[in-house]
This record gives sequence, C-alpha cells and structure tokens, in this order.
Amino acid sequence: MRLNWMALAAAAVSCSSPDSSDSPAQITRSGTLEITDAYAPAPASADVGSLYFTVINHGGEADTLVAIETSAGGTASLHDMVRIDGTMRMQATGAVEVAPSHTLRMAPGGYHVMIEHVTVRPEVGDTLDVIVTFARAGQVELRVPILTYSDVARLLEDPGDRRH
Amino acid sequence: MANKRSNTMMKPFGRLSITSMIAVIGAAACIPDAPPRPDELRGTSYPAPLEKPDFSLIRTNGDTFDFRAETDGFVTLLFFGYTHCPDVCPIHMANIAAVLRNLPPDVSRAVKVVMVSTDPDRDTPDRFGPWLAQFDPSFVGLIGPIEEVNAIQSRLQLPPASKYGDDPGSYTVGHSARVIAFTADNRAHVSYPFGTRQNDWAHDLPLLVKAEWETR
Repeated sequence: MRLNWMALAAAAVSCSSPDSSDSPAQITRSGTLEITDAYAPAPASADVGSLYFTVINHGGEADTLVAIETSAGGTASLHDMVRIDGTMRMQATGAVEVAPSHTLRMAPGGYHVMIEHVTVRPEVGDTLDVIVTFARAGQVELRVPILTYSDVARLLEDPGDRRH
Repeated sequence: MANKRSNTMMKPFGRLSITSMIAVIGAAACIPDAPPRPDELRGTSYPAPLEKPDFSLIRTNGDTFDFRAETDGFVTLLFFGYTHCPDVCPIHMANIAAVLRNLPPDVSRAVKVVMVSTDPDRDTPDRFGPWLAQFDPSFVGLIGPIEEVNAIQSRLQLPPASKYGDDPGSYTVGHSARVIAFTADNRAHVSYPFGTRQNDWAHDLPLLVKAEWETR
C-alpha cells in the first residue's frame, strides 16, 4: 500500500490555516527515527477518532513506541486490525517495537492510533497536535493535518488508479 | 426497468436490408443490458448468487424498514458495521458517498445504501442517524437486536458480529468488512471487501445498475 502524497498535498493545501507553515508531507526526525505520512480523518463521531503515521528506524538499535497524546483529548492508543474468520476487529497492541531498519506503517485497515473519549473534536482543515513517546528517542511532536474520510481513502489509491 | 427497454429489440426480423442489419447489430452492441461477466467487475463474484433476504428492522428515524420491499428494483449496497469503528466503516461509507455524488444522476438514483448496526447497544438512533447522514443523508441506517442482525448475516454467508471487552466506553466489535451488492433481480452476484477503492465503485456501480439480470 503506497500513499499518494500528491493527493494529500492537494487536500491539505486547500485547507491549512494561514499561520501553519507545515508541509503536509512533513518529515519529523528524532535521532535515528524518521516519522512521516502523518494524517488523521476528521472524526465521524463526537467521541471516536483515528490517526495514522509511519515510523522508520534508520538506527542500529530497536526503539519502542510507548505512548501517544493528542490535542483531541481523551486517550490515544495504538491498535492493530486483526482478521479472524472473515471478520475484522481492532485490538490494542500496547507498546510496539520498531526494529533497526524496520518501518511501522499505519494505514486504514491496519495499524492505527485509536483516539477514544475525544473532548476536542477536530474538523477538516484543523491541525492535530500529537506527542509520540519512544523509549529511546523520547518525545516527538507532530502537527497532523485533518482530512475528510474520503480524502484519506483516496490516499490509499495508487496514483495510476486516479482516473475518473 | 431494463427489461422493458430490451424488448423493443426483439422486433420480427422479416426482410432485413444490410443497413438495417448493421443498425440492429450496432444498437444491440450499445445496450449494456447483458449482465457483466465476473471478470468485468472489480468486486468479488459469488459462485452462486445470494437471494435478497426478507427482513424488517427499525430505521434511525423510527420507521419500520422492510428491506426487500423498500429496495426492490434498486442496486442495494448492504453493509454491517458500527459507529465506534475507526476506519473500515467510515471509509466504506465515505467512498460510496463520494462516488455516488460524481456518477450520472440516472445511475446514483438507482442505488440505495443500507447499513445495519452491529453494535445496537451503543448505536442509538440519535447517534447512528447523524453519523450516517454526514456521508449521505439518503443512506439508510437500521437498528435491531444483535441476534436478529447476526441471523441476517448468517443468511448472507457473513460471520456474526462479536463484541470484545466489557467496558461500555471502549469495547470493540469484530464484524465482516464486506459490502454486499444486490441488483434489480433481488440477488447479489458480487460483494466488495475493505480495500475497495473509489475508482472500483465508480467502475462497477454503473455496470450493476444498467445490467439486465436474468429474471426467474
């Protein structure tokens, strides 16, 4: 699954606030970790949201994602999607290790950050402030663009599919 | 609807000139009435079509919804999911809504979308109604006892929904991520898994709407 960053750029440029200088395809580095492809759909309900990003470990040692906080309030935790007997269900993963030269990629239908008990519901065009805590790299701050679910879905399409 | 259209093609063939023969062949080629072959569709074809189930559940607006009667003659996309679902459910709904907005009105008007909650304890009409309407106000949300919902799923060869955890604030629900597409013949020839893209829907929905399925 490859994200279409042209689409994300187009989606985010049209709705970023004037004082935001962040590029949507922003890459955040902390030590040997690189965090990229961060985006979140505007929550479909008042209290539940989700968030996605990708962690690449360029270093020689493993690091572990231990905690996530967001400006949407409530609790944020990493979940995976488990397929059992024809069903899909999400499951909290707890802390997740990113091995050297490995990538932890979050995307709809797979790993995602589940935000529950949202207190500040972000809207399309807002930016979600996120703090991700790693055991070795410490805290990493992200500014995450809020997109529509439809735009999030279109990020998952291959560029060659975007014909109609 | 499509049935009536094709009957006009069956005029007696009497004395046919070459020109009229060509005209007839040409016209026949333009009428997209033949059911699409499985390999023409991007969805997953059923080895044997599924019969549209007969059931009634309560709509989020309080009305009783007789599924078979209310969807008769339409391409009907049926999905089982819940509003605490982080991405599978909202992405399916957002994708279908986005595609319907962009299809010609004669196609989009022939499509109905029905979502049945797999989490009736939390999906009250007040919660489920607005949740679904934000994607498209014409989408129909249905609520019923989970045993009944699972019985319907079982008739459709879908696994039952199951609840994981007890905390009312944060339990999760495992459910099928498949959208079943019924056609005007009140059968489903094809279904769509999670991962179906907007361009897949845009490709298949007009074919499903315009095809004339064999009537029994």
